[in-house]
Amino acid sequence: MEAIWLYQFRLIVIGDSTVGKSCLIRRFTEGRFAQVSDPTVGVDFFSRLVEIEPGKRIKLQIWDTAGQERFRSITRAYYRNSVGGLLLFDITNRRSFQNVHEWLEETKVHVQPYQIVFVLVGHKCDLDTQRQVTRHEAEKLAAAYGMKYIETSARDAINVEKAFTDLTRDIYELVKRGDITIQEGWEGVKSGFVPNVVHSSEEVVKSERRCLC
Amino acid sequence: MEEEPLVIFMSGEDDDPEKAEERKKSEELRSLWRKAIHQQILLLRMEKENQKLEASRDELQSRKVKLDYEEVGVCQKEVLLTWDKKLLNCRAKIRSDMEDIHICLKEGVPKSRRGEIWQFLALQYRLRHRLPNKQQPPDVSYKELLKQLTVQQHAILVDLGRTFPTHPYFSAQLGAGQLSLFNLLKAYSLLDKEVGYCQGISFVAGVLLLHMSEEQAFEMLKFLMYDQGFRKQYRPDMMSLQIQMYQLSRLLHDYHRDLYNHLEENEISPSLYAAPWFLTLFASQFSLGFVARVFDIIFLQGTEVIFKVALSLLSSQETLIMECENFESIVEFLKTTLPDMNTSEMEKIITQVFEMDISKQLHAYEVEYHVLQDELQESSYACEDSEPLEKLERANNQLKRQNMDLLEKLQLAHAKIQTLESNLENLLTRETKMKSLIRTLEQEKMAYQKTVEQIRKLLPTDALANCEFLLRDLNCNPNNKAKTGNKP
Repeated sequence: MEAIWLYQFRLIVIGDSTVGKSCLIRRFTEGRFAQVSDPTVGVDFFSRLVEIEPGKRIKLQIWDTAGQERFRSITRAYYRNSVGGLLLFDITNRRSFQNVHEWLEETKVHVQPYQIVFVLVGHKCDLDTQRQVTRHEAEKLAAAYGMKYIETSARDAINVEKAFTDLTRDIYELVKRGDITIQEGWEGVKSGFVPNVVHSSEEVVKSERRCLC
Repeated sequence: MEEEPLVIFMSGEDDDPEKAEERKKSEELRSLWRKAIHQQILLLRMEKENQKLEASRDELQSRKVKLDYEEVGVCQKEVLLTWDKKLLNCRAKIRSDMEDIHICLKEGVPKSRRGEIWQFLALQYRLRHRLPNKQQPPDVSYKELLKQLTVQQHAILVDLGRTFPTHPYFSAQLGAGQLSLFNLLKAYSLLDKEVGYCQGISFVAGVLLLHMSEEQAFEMLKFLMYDQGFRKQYRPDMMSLQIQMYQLSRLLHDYHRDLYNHLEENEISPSLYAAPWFLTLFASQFSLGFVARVFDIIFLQGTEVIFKVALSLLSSQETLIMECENFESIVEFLKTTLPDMNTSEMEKIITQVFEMDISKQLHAYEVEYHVLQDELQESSYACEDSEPLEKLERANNQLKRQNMDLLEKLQLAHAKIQTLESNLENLLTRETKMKSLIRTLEQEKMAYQKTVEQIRKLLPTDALANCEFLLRDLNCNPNNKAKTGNKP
């Protein structure tokens, strides 16, 4: 039986090899930290429901990608149909932080004419003693690109929920405002099976907003 | 005990008059020394022997750990004997009959001899196919490569703990397994600078290391990559992998249309589930017993085995996949349920793979892919940005449909050409046979004529008239020619 959801968002998770993309996703979707895991060869897929407001559920389709550069010719195909993305770097690996710019460029080229709402994620924040990137400089970089910044740890389950749900909320707001619209032939956002109750409350919210204007 | 001879030696030096006794003593001394030395040598030898035993015990232990997997298909005793014979031939580098090897391989492979058998199959493959110079790996020894440093070091190190992470041989951090894996991957990355290291290779290397020594594994990795051409799919542009994904999709389209439609409707492309199958040769998801069996056939036939296994896997589970109603459940099935099937199902798949032949289709689809790519490029140049998207989308859909139709036609045409070509070949061989028959007949005729000439000379002139009469008779009735010709 398919769960009831208002919208379905497609998210993509990118970043250098071994920054912990798969571990972050698995913590979020399976609720546990995978001690051992295979490298992602190509793309992998996960999904989970998120309740952003009581009774309002969003289904997240999360695409995990291989970090090794040569796999981009395959992962590229999945950018276009994503509405949101988590761009990961490892706070103990400066190189992965320096590559953030390159990742953004790479997606920009292949996502047109659409856009991806990105959040910058400094991962492995439990390893604070080995930190090579300060919170301050990461925040600065994120702001420069108009992204939010959040630090997470899949091992200690820090901010994992928050990273995904905040991004989901932001996208939801954009959809509600009409800045992102559902389009034929684009998989980024899909509207789901909406029971009457939820539908009517949506209408109420909409009309209220209209009154305020 | 050891000091005694010395004491005797020291004390005996000063006494001069008792020479006889001294001599006796020195003789004793000498024999004692001899004994001591002898025993020392024996001791050393025993120690060495002990070490050897220990080493072989360690090796046995590690072999046991390495080969600790459940086999798919049990090997009968008679098959074991045939393999023994074949492996003897291997040392002599004798070319074996392909059909024979095929049958034998189908019967099964004992895992304790698997490493040797792979090397035997590689040798046989090399005897049948010679690599053109251009594709040959540089001639540098494994030992030489190990002395160098690789730029891929980081990428390799990072994957050591992620390759067969639950297998006892590879799980220990920087244990024997991981060290061998590192050496092998490093050496390969130095040998093949274009490919270097690509994720996925570590699994292939790992499977090899479970069945043979590091150096042998290096040789076999070279064989898979260069001789059989697996290295293409790991190249930085990954073009070849894209083509393979297209080929798999087309195979499904042609042979399992319902399944193809079901997957298409749910937007599941092969790159989503089959990329690891190709890049790790099934080793990252499937059980080792199954993977080893797949490797058996790969060593015999090469890259197309991956397609056969993929096709056989998907088609064997077709009903179950069709029952999955949405994207998530299909992906879950392909990712988790499919690799988890039981041994008898795996055996069936392997048997099926032995009977498949799809090389012609694969070739045709590859050609198609290139044609399609060219067309896509041309059409993308032709269209302008200002055109409304909808219109383009519609045109695109139409073109896609057209393309599919054309591709089918092309395929039919290909098949037709193939049959025509084989017909032509048949005719040509028949023609040459006929020609040679004609030539022999003509030679025969000349020989007969010569004989007739000779006979004519030997015969008296009055008999000749008779003979001519006979000859005329002969010309009218050629069936008698041979009989008369033989008479002197």
